[in-house]
Parts: sequence; structure tokens; C-alpha cells
Amino acid sequence: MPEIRVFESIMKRNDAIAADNKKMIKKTLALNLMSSPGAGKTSLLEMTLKSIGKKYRIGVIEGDVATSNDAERIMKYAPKSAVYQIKTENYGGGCHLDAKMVSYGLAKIKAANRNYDIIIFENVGNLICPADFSLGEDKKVVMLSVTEGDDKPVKYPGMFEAADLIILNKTDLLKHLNFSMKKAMSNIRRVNKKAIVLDLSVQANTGMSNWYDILKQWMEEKKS
Amino acid sequence: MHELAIAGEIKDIVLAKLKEHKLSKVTGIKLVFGEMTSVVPEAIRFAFASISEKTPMSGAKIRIKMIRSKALCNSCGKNFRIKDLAYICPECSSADIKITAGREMIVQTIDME
Repeated sequence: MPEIRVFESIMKRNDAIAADNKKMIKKTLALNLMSSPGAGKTSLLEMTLKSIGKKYRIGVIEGDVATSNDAERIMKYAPKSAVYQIKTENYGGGCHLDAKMVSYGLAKIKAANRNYDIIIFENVGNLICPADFSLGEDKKVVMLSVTEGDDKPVKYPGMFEAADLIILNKTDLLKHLNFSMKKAMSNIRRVNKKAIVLDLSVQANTGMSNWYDILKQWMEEKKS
Repeated sequence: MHELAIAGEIKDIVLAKLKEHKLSKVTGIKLVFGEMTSVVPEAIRFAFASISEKTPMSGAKIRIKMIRSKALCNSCGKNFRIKDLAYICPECSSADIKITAGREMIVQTIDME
């Protein structure tokens, strides 16, 4: 019974497709937007498209287990051809986006030849699985809404540890909650010393300019 | 539940190796996962058993080794184990560290016949 030595990364195929995705979109800033369900990812995108969607060419790839609800919401603020909905149930019921699904989405929105400034992959709402699958993004953005509790960063360290930007959303609700910004911050810093942390409220439209500033800075970095 | 997707990747790697070595049955697979991955070993075993039914891998024994997280401090050069989510150098308290182990997902060996 021969023992074959393999030493092959299980993520090799996913990572190779992710690298191809990144190569294909050239100077476009690609973001992997992750959070638990209901944290406000789609609302963030709606508001972003409403505010800066005329100034920049923005593409969106939506990932959900089922329905096209999110893509339909986004299409109110973006050209239909720049939005694509991936239903992961068609790929074996995935609880996350993977690089192959995204490569399909990128082809659908013609990412290779439309010179998008930004493409956002809105991942399936889930703080566990998406952390293991790279999609070809330049930056990982993790959103945490204050209704979820200030201990989430240490409960899901794999997700928060890899983030480049952590957005604390729904801060207009703070007065009704026991959420401590100080505790949240210290929990974030336990697992991630480097990420930029922004607090904002998409619904109340407060703190959003900091988000746009970061997008602008990242776009410039990617283009230079 | 992404263990199912991971098990699918393992299946493809193993079947490719089986073909490459012109053998017909897989009896054991050794996998290595870093503790920073969000992989649950029992879920991997369960997912793999279910997708390998009626394949040459059916009944293969899955051995899983978990690797502890380690990091290298870019400031003082100390190698250290990341304990209790402390992503900080225990020697000089620097946060400028490079993670050197803990994210692995590897098919290490396959027993075939």
C-alpha cells in the first residue's frame, strides 16, 4: 500500500483562480465585503452608489445563498450591466463566495474591458466561511453592526484578523444598546492591530465621507 | 458548512493523484489544517465521507493534524506561538508581526493501492 507524499494546498485551485481574477481586473480596486447577515452590506453599497456612483464606475457582484433581492436593490442605483447576482445554491449551496463564482461574475459584468474604478464582491452574510476563500480582492472589508455585540471580533477572529478595514455600522442605534465602542475597539485590536476602523451609520448617513475617502485613497494606490 | 466545499477540493486533488499513479483505491488521507482556519475536523470527515460514497475513496481513513498558530516579530525577530488571540510579540510588544503558521490547509499524504 504505497503512501504518496502530496503536500498540496487544498486551496491551490481557488487561489490560482483568485490570482487570475486579480490579473484580469488590472487597475480596478477589488473589495471583498464581508459581515454577518443583516449588518448592512447592501445598504452600504446602495448609499455608496447613490453618493459616488456617478463619479466612479462601480461594479458589484452579489453573493447570496438564494434570491436576487440584493442585485435588484443595487440595480436601482447602478447600470444593470454592472451588477451580477451569484446564487451560491446553484454551486452546491455554498455559504461563501469562492474565486470561481467570482470569475463567472466578473465575466458577466465584463470586468476585463470596462475599466471599472471599483468592483465590490458582496459576500454571503457569514462571519466564518468567507474568511478561508480568497477571491482576488485587493482589500478585505469587514462590517460589524453595533446591534450584533461588541465581542464579535474575538468570537470570529479568523474574519477580523485578516481585515484591512473594519466598519462599525448602525452607530445611530448606540443609545438603545449595551454595545460599548471601547470594548469593541479593544476586541478588534486584540486580533488586528493594523486595520483601519471606521464608525458610521449608513441609514442616518453619518460618517460616510470617511468611507469614500478610503475608497478614493485605495483607488489611487491601485492605479499608481 | 464550507467543509463541504473544502472536502470537494480534497476529493479532486486525491482523484488526480490516484489517476497519476495509476492505482485504483484510496485507503487513507492525511490532512493538515492550521488552527486559524475555520475548519472543524469532524465536519471535514463527515463531508468527505458523504461525497466519497461510490468513489475509489469510499471508506478512506481521514487523519487530520491541526497546526498551532505561530508568528515572527518583525521588530525583534522573536518566533512565538499565538496564544489567546494575542497577535502581539510577547518579547517586545510589537504589533508588527508576520504570521508563519496557522493558516495551512494541506493534503499531506495519500495511501493508495
